[in-house]
Amino acid sequence: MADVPKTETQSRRRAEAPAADRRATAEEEQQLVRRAQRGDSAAYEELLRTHQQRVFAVVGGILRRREDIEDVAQQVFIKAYFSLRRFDLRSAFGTWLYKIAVNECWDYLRKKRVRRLVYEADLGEEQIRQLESIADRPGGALRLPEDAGRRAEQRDLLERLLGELDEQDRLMLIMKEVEGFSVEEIGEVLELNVNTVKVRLFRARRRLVEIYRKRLKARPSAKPHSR
Amino acid sequence: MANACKKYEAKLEDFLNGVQDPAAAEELEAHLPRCAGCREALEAARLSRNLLHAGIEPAPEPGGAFATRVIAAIRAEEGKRLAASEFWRPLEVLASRLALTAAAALLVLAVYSFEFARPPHPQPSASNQSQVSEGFPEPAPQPTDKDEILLSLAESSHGR
Repeated sequence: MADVPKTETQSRRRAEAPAADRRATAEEEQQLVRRAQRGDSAAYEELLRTHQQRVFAVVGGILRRREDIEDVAQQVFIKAYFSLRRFDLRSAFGTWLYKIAVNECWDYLRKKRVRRLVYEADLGEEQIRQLESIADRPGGALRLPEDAGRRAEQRDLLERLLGELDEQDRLMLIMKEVEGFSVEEIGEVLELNVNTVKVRLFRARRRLVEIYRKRLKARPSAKPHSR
Repeated sequence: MANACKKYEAKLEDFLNGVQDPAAAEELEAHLPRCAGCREALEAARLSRNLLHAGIEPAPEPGGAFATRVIAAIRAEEGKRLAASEFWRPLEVLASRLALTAAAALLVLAVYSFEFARPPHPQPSASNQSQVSEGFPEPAPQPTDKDEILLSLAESSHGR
């Protein structure tokens, strides 16, 4: 059995900027939280700066549109500020904050009554051809086209595929593969057992590939896909 | 697409993430050559990872002004909350003063009703008793022994 390549074990976010480096140690963070609970706004600002990227990652895993992400992330920090006195420090501040972020996203979607985007058979021939070119190459070393326009189009296609997944499964996949959360962190934020997260992640991957292959098969002249 | 064995799904996810303990890895290595479903599922999982890495952008960076904007929004929200509480403050003060005044008035009224406004209980005094006995005849003295009882019975029957 071939070893999993090193690059496969790393998410894009971790590879770019390790989140752990930016985070204060647990003890320092607890001190900051206590100070913020006593009304020290500078302490809260420090907490905000430490966690803003990950809050964006969680919110972005659900909402995907930049305007929505900024609005909801801001709302998350405001809500956390006014609820801070009720936070009992039994969990990490980050975990508490990311849970607020997830709940705020579900509320936002409910309020906006955004329906899940389902694209049954609306991919054109060119789009399907692009899908074929994105993935399904051995070794996992995939590159998007150099052309910015085509790259954006391909990303949009993949976002569509992801849009067909269950919301929580999509969030787990993005948190894991794109934003660099560990399985344990995902479990804490979504209040799921670690084993459940692993199984659901594995099934969500399979479901994503099923959708992807379905799109390719929908093409009249598509060649059968072996992978 | 074939399903992976349920028993191995979590292990396959660990394998994909490169975080498996040696015993589990050994077990999986023995299992995979015999199980087409798990092999296919693992391939699909790798493909999904390729798709996600190739095509999905991480969430945007917050940008330098984000924290400043949030702090400003918090200040504004605090100001709004404070203004709302200030708006009702005179009414609260008035209400509390009214309540205090009402409580004091009630206390005074209660003391007054206890001490002054209560009707005095008539105390039986010696002079009163004599006044009463003047208006009514004295009751007959009670017989003290059997003879007196018989005598009083005889007197009363004779009187009739």
